[in-house]
Amino acid sequence: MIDWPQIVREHGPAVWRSCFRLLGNRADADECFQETFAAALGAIRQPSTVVRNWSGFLVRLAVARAVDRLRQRVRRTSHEHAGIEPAALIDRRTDSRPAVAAERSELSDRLRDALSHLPPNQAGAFVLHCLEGWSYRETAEQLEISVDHVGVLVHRARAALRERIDAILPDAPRPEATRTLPTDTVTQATTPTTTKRGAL
Amino acid sequence: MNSNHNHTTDARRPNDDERELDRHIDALRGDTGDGPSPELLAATIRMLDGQAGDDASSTAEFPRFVRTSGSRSIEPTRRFTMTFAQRIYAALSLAAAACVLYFMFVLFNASGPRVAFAQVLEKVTNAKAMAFTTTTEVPGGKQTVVMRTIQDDADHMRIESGNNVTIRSGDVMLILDATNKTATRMDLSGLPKKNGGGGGGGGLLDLNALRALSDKPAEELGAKTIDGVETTGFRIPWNNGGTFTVWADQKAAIPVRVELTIPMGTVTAKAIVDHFDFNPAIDATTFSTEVPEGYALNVQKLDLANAAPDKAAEAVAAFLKLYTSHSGGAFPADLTDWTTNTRVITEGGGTVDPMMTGTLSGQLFSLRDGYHYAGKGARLGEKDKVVFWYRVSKDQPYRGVYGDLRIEQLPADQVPSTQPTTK
Repeated sequence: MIDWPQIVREHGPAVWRSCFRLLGNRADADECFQETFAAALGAIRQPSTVVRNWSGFLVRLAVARAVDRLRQRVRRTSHEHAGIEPAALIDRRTDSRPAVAAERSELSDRLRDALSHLPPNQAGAFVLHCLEGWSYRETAEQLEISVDHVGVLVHRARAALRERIDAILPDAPRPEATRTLPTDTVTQATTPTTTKRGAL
Repeated sequence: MNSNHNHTTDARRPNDDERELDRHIDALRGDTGDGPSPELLAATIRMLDGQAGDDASSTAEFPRFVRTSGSRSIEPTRRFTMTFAQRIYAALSLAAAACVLYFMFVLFNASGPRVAFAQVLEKVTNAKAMAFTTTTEVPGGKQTVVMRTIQDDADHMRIESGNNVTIRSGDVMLILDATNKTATRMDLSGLPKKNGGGGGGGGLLDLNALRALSDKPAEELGAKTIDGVETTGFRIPWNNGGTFTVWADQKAAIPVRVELTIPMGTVTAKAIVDHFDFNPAIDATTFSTEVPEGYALNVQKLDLANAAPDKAAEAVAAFLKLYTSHSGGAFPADLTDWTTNTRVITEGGGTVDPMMTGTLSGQLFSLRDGYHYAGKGARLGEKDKVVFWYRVSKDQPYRGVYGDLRIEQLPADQVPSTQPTTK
């Protein structure tokens, strides 16, 4: 007999945080939270389902549902708000928050938007490993794939996210990049340089 | 080359991009909100307790996501609405298929030497399975629904529409929603038994069940070319007020296109059935009711014993009881104006189970001889007024629902003579 009240109380906060992290607003996170537990109930009824790690099981379900919602949200808003960046439609914090918090909010929104464009398996592996902090082995166990496969998915996800973020704001300042462009650069031919730092 | 040149305006350094991504990850990792509200936790526990108690609810309800203050509901009505519409469209689809076969049999038999009778008979009676596409418009519906149906002579059916698949295999029906990764398995009971054997029914062609559809002569419409095929058209009026028009290939003796009009209260649905395929390829997965991996499963029981046409009076009385208890005693002006009727009930503080209205709608639709509703202007308690009456077939007596919601068989002299709203 499963003690659902205990499971909800013990693991609910972590599940909710996983939902909120990806969806960015309380209303969506609440709905995703309930969907997660409904899905868990349905999964438990399958004779083949044995849960050894409730936290991992529930967070994995939550992440999958949140990623789906994120993808649906972007698809829906791209039809309804042509010309408006989907990230602009995610709840934003008010301008009264400190600048640092506002900047972090913007970074979060941008990454959410980029995540919504990933294939679900890449997004899931990336979220569990890079955002939830799971090891490759833990991620592999919950997704029921090999550790190598997790590595491939995360690698591809990161590459796609880099590209996507770069495309969203290609002129965003790189805070730690070294820019020492000599003043006569623009007149030089764009031939590959033989120096190490300029090598392509 | 300028040795100071370590960054061009066009090249990106991988490390820069990695650091940029890590900044984003770091920001999102910490963006976890304030946590779930106590209300949400309590509501979720209530939801789980309500569903975990019995594995298959006898009330056949979808999971009720509990609304918490300050957040939206999960829109369970959206799923209800989709399934309700699916049932209506599925009913239309099946009716269209059945009629196609029957009328093709009858019409080509009656059309004389244009098509060899033996050809038609062989094709129809030997068919083990059939596939076709149904395009349905319901006035007031938000879109035209296109469905592809495959069915065989062993009580299996598969309907695909958009991201939804419905599979029926005997007493099990599985509804899959690929968008939301949900599966609803319905264990059906009280199914009507199919007529069979004796050349009059069974399999894909159930003549015994279909003969009552129309006793009116067919109107020949002449020839028409459809998709490059020379066809002959016939229109048959149904007893329930609808029409059935079939355009059939003169040479191959198979339908090319079927057009249906189906009265549904104050509106008329239209359906087109085409792209027929007799004995299509079927494999072990076509009618499989196994739940795909990754789908959340919900199991329900659905007792259809009271969903048969001959129980229409009981279903109507139940609906009218619900309606009048929230309308101050007034009966609906139009029995099948579900939108208005649902609004009246909900504004009166009640709730409408789409399963109830969906089943009732299907029952009314399947009454081959139509039904009659005279509740407009009537009030609960008018014990001498018959507000609803019907008969399952011409050799059966009428059954009626009175203004006080009692159900009785109507003697011939008590059947109302006026036909107020629908046939």
